[in-house]
Amino acid sequence: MKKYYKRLKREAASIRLQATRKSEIKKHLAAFMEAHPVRVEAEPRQIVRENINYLGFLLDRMNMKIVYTALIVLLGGGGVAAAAEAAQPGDALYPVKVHVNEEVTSALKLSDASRAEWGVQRIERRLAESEKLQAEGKLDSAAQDQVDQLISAHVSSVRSLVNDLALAGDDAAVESIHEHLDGVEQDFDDTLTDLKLSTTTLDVRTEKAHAEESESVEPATKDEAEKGTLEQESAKTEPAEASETQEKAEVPETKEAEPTEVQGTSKREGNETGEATESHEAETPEGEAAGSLN
Amino acid sequence: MPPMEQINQSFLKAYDRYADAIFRYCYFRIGNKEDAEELMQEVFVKSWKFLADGGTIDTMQAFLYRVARNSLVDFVRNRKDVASLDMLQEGGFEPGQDHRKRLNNKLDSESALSALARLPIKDREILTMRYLDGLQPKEMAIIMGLSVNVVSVRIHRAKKHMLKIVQI
Repeated sequence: MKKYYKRLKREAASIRLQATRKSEIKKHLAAFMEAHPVRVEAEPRQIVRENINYLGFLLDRMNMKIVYTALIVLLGGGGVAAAAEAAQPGDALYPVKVHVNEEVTSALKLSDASRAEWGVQRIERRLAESEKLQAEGKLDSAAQDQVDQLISAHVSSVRSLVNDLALAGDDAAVESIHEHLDGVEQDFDDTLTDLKLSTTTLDVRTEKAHAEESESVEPATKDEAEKGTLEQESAKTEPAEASETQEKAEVPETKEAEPTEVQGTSKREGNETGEATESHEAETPEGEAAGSLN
Repeated sequence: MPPMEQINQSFLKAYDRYADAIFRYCYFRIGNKEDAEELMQEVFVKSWKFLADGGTIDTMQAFLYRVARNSLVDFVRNRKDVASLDMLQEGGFEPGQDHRKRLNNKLDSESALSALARLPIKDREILTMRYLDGLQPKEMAIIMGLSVNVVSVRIHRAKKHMLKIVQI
């Protein structure tokens, strides 16, 4: 049997492409390769992304910290990481900067508050990079897309952290994040416009905050509602106190007006909780208009 | 750009190195030289496309075989009659002469390849990879998406079939 396989091999070796055909096909292939060049920078990006997803799937956050620390050590004391720090969108090391370095930093944050704060800083970093690119005239659509994607990823992670913080009742942290974000918004107003992002992109408010916000943003409707209740109230009280002086009559009215207002508000809230998102959406074009005006 | 040039060069090198093996692999499955050539070209074009779109290839050989396998499946699906013995012979698959009288003499005279041609496709594929292309069971397992164990069992079975044919 062994003899057979030996022979089989020998015979098979005689079956091969004709040398001319082989080089002909090679020419076709080379032409095809020329027409479809490899995008060199695409390679590291994909590797890094795959690794991160893979790790993210398998490990929880605590383990991630260990893995990331090990990763830094493995990367030669952060030589690559340090080099990546200066990378800009479109650079080969840029994915290392945003998907490794910054993820590592994020994983090493101990509290949700500091993690959210770091998220805002990441948004700030993205905008600073874009500003620099724009100044150098290198902010092309590819870089823009890359930055847009990253910003929306950062925003959504900050949003979920802010949500957690709000649920945990850490209002001070929520407020400080909002303040920081407002500052970022103002600082990078022009860059946001360059990136064709509206200021609402950086909106990380929780649903509750949205609901509260939409109350104060629609003074016209609120006034109307108030007026309605006040009128009703005065209609009730007026007949009894008709003989009183105008001044006196006004005092209990305003006193009573306050609880009524609260009542009216809570009524509205009840109506609006379902529509909270809707009313915010309605508000969006205004925000955008304001953003572009600035 | 130097890194791009490097990728181009190494891919063309891979072509020089594996084109014959992939061609042979296709040829033993479909039994027609022209189709096998075309398929082989397709395998390299597809693999390049994968690279160009940012994919990474760890082991070129295993990757090429895998692409070849998939391309063959597509090819066979479109032409169901492929690889029947008649078809093979019509297509010029006569690597050796097949004088039945002399088959009694077993191995000493006849073409080893003609025996291979009479094996079912599955066995032919296994034996081609193992003995003609010299792939290790481990490599075959990667290519075929099977465990090494299953591959070893299949090699064993294919050898048994082959033995039957050769000993008739």
